[in-house]
Amino acid sequence: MRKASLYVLTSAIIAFYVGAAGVGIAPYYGAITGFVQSATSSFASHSASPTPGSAVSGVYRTAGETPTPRAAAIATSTPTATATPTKQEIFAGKVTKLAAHTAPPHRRINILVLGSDTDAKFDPNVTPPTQVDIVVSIDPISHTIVEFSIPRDSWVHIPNYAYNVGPDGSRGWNKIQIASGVGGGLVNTVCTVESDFGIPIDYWVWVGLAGFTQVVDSINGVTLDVTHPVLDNSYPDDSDPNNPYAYRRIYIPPGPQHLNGDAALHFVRSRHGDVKSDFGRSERQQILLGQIRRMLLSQDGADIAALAPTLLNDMRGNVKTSFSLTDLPTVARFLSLLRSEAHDKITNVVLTPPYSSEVQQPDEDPAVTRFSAVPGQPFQQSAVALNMPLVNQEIVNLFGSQDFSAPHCKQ
Amino acid sequence: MTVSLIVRSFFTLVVAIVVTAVTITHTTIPPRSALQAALDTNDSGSRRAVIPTPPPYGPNPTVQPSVMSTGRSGSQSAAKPTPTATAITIQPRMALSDFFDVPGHIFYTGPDHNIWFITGQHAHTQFTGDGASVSPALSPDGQKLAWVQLERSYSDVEVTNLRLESNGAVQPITTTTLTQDKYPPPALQRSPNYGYDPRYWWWATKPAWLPDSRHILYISDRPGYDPNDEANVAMSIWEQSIDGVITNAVGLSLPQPVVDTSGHDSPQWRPHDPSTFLYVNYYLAADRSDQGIIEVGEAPTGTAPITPAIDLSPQGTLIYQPTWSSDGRFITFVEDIGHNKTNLLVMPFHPPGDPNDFNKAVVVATGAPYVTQPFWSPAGHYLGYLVGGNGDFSMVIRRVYYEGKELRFGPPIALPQAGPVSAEYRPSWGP
Repeated sequence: MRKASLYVLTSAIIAFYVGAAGVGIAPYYGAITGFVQSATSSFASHSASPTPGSAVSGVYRTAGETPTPRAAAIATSTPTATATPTKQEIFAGKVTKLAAHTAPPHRRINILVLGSDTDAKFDPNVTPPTQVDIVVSIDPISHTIVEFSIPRDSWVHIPNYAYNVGPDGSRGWNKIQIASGVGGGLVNTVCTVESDFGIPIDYWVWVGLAGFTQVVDSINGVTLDVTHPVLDNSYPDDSDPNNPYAYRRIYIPPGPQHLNGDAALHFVRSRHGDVKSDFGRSERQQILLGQIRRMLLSQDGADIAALAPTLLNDMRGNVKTSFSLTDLPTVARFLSLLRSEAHDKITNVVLTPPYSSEVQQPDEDPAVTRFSAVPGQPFQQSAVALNMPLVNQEIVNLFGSQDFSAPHCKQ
Repeated sequence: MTVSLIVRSFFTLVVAIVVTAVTITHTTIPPRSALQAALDTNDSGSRRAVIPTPPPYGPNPTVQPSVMSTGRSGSQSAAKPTPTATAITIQPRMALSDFFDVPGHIFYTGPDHNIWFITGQHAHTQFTGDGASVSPALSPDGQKLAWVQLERSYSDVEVTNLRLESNGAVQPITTTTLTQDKYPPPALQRSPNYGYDPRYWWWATKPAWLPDSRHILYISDRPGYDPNDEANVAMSIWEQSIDGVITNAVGLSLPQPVVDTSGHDSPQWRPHDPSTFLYVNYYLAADRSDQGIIEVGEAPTGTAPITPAIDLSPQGTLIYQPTWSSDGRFITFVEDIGHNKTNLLVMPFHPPGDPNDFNKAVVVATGAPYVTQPFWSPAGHYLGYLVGGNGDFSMVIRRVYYEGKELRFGPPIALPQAGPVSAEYRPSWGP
């Protein structure tokens, strides 16, 4: 089984295409694995096969023939969408029409996008730590989007957690990434974000990255600008279930380039040796998220429609979400907002200094004290201490207000 | 029944979203496999000859280094590279009259991580075929090609002696592994774990020739992993003779210690100048944003082992791939202008380096969204670069006109015969 890691593509698809649902509909906390699988198998025989390159393959011809410059070949290629619509496209048209009669949401929608490794290092019976915690906030009124990344090592108060006294004197502090594993599963991470940051979460999506590489390759990779060299001496080489603790080295040169699935995974997952430490990784995740969104929304992108069954198949088993099936009719309506000017008004926030600082934090959790230098003493964890007055001020600036009064999380 | 409807609704909704999000067009550049299939199908001429894949790199008692160097003047011999005999002439592919007639040879890295070249009006020809060779650099005399063999956790610089035939054919003669970065010289080893712990291996990449065609600059993360300082890993610039002598060139010439560095990149020696080179230094700005500064320095000598470098671009700029013009009077470079776009600019150069020259830079090409990896023809008649957006990059060149102290560029000339090009590494244009 392929052991991949990050989640950003599927996060983007979910957050921006399946995300943002209607108001007042009770969340359904469950996995969509089942119906994704059913839908894929039902429509597999009707899906259009992508034919990349067919329009320009004539650039190279036998001697004597006139070569077709690539630009000309592109310009004269005929979109297949004008041909007889497939059953898939007919259904798509009907749903689009249906969605046009669906009222768009009238307030900001916050979606918590979570991601985890799914490698063999983790007990399959335990929810893995969330290594990505991004609040994607979509405001249909101002046509703006906020991507708010919370460092996975942020030292926060976690509901249902008993160890470590925090700066406010309360017990139950640790890195936000472990919130999903201490009771309540992924919902506990939602509760942590709501209670610590005052951001009401309408929906959450968790994506395991077993299919990440395949998904990026399915859309023919992603083009982006690597703004500084990425050099990692200890990149997890956990593709082999018999040796999940192995390491390898990676190097990504700086500058614009086109990344395939493997390289994209390295780009968003690498965390050692980055001059910006783990904050740099959060930035890279947002960069990739944005580039995938631009590519999917661009007019000159690949034939994503034909790839939809493949994408869904890649996500199969690797997505959990609170979205209810009954929420979905509003999605296409919301998409029209994203396709307008909204997607150009994106604010990306990573809680780098001065919003935070890296610290050594004593951790008395028995799960880690076995690693302590002195038996029985707290383990010294590298963590991120948040400057909450500044963070709270930034949240108010970004989200308009903080809602501590009525969290959506039901304990 | 209800469940079935819900399932169908969900799937069709997702499809609707995707369909409405993307206008269906077939503008996808064919992947290398499709291009190659077309070539193989239509090629009625000679079959492509591919340079044999070098043997797997590993411990070889005959090439184990015994001595190392810590300075240019005091250089000591590292490993004596072992030539690998090859005897295959690589014939260029079919010529097409409508292709632009490329003078000389342009070697470049394909998206498949193989090295390809174009020459004359021929379609692209594959030079390496193992899917792990990148970053070609032709020597100024046109008789040697430096390139990089990628391994899973390290890379080595290889040098292939060539004979460029008048009909465009390329005959590789011998290939030598220049660097020894899985089994480095003993004096550079810090751990007994060399050889089996990949964290102690090194990268050596982005080779660039000195004017004498006998020495190479490249970047490497020597001395590599320090278990006490895991984050302190960065590329620095090294110089090495093709006879195996290692010299740390730029590692001794930092103007001052730079904290929070991501390392050096894109070293290049000034043509016709025995001592001047440039590179980019990546480190965090005061606001912790990325910046990449063009720096130029003179190679240290025995009497002055530390030579301060000069910043040629101001603080806050983010520069990629500065490149000397063929006569060394100008520097082309790529600048990140934000909003996921880059521009290609050219600025004059006045030795030993004047920061005010950056203010005289003019834009040669505007990215839509990306323009990158500038390279020059040997005689300076053309400037080449790569352009790209959503997908692989393609190669274009511009005619260069010299008007006194200024340059003027003709319109872009597409080189579709090159096919898709990797933007990770700079193409190299030689005789």
